[in-house]
Amino acid sequence: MIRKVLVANRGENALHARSANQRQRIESYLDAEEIVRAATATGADAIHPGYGFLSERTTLSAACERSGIVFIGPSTETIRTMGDKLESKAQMRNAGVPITPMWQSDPGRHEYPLLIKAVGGGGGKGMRLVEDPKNLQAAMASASREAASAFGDDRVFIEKYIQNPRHIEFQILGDAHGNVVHVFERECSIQRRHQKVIEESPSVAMTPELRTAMGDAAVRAAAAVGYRGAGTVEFILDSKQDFYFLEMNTRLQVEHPVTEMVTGLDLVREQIEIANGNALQLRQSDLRQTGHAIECRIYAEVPEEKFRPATGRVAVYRPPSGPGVRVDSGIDRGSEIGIHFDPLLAKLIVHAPSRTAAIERMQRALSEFVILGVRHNIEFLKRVISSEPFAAGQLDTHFLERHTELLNPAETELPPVVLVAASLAASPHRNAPFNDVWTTGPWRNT
Amino acid sequence: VTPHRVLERTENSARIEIEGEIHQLYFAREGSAVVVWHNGTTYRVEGAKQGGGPQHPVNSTGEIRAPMPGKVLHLNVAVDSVVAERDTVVILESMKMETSLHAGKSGRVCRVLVEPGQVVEMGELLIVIE
Repeated sequence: MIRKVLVANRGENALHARSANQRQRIESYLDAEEIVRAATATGADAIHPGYGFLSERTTLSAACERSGIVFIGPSTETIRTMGDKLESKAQMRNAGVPITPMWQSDPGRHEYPLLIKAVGGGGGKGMRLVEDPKNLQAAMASASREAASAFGDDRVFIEKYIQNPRHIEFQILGDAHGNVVHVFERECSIQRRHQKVIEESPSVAMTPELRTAMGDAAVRAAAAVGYRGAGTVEFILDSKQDFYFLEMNTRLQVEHPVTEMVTGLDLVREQIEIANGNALQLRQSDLRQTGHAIECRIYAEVPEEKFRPATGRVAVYRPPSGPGVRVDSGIDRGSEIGIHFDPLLAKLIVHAPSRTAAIERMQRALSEFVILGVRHNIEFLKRVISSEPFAAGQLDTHFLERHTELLNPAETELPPVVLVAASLAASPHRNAPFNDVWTTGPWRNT
Repeated sequence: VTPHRVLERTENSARIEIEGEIHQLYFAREGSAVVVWHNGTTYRVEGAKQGGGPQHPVNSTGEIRAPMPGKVLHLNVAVDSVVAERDTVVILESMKMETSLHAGKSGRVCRVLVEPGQVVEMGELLIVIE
């Protein structure tokens, strides 16, 4: 029975830790042995890895297995298999899950364009698009060097390049008793630098038949590796509605709240129940998607300058609220946004009866979100969410590259009151005695 | 400046009455700029310095500066290295993202002011090419 959980993470990831009874200071979130020692020292009987950091490395799950602490996630063997792109694809093919055609060497001119990928990891590292056979060898060599430095594994392979696909993923839950269900799809086609920016559920591309086919494939994928816990099977979907297995993430994902909003499930609770050895109480036929949910990732970055990361100190933090609005964030007024962690400041999730209503609610929530002191992408997200192609659901993973008009704000004149506020901000607050006249004056109580 | 009354003021917010309407505003300094949130929009008001445009320093002078705060991950050159225009000279890491900095002109590296692992500020001079 799990009574005390160590959350080995930070920021909005460790949201539940805000009210934690105990906090343990550690030197590094990447040192598995140290995290296990921290768990032992605080008397925790389980570790939740969150996402990022060690969640998809076998070192933490293996260290837990050695010291008798429950790792809230799949087995070390499952993490290892799914972390190896070649091995996972072979397993998926055997399980009858569609995969993109792949090769170890030049498949011939008629298969171009091709995509070179690293065996050891993703995120765009070790990835190259090759359109001309004469560039293949050089591209493989350079991808291999990049993969070696990023993942310590120089192996690369060649895949058919799918033009302008949608990114559709299925949330799955598997228990230790062989039960697996899927909890529907999320569409995460709005990406920059191969990282997701906006996610939603349901996907506008989905028909009931396609959902059944993809959901069944996701369940087969998880069952093939004896998956235990919450995981995500990622697919790409082409314009002909053919789908291909991309990879499986053996952890909870950043965008999991989207699924929680449309299903009413608490996925972290499900993870803990599964880790406790309990059988899933959910049957596929009981699960329903209700309404529409959208998540926007609020990043500390400058979209108009190639999304470069931004740093600073948060001077004002006022999150939006209201029905159907959820904010997961680990920051507050005074937080220092430094260079050492990724630039996710907060996740803003909305839920409404329809996609149109969810878009309107997101526009309102983004407008009410005030973060000052560090540059961020809120105005950019408003432009994307309010754009015609987004409303039309014409999404694919190159959306932002195609719609470059969304990167830059329209030239607008500053309202006079903004100029007044700007001059106030530029003058120090303390030696502005005339303000006191007004704050104690007749306007004070209006 | 338009006639106005400041009804309330804290370090980062104010209520301002202007042309008969009362507005709630939040503001802060971000480097040389002031940012102001008003009625659902965040405005960026640049100071005296020319703003708005990309802040990536042009390095055709031979000076390579950090376009963002970060950590020097890798140096591809040392003093006396000869580089061609567009060669990658430094790799910076910031917020788990790598950025390659390129030589703006060809020439000989005459100064290297940083070492791998060093944390640098935005605009800090890293390398000089003669």
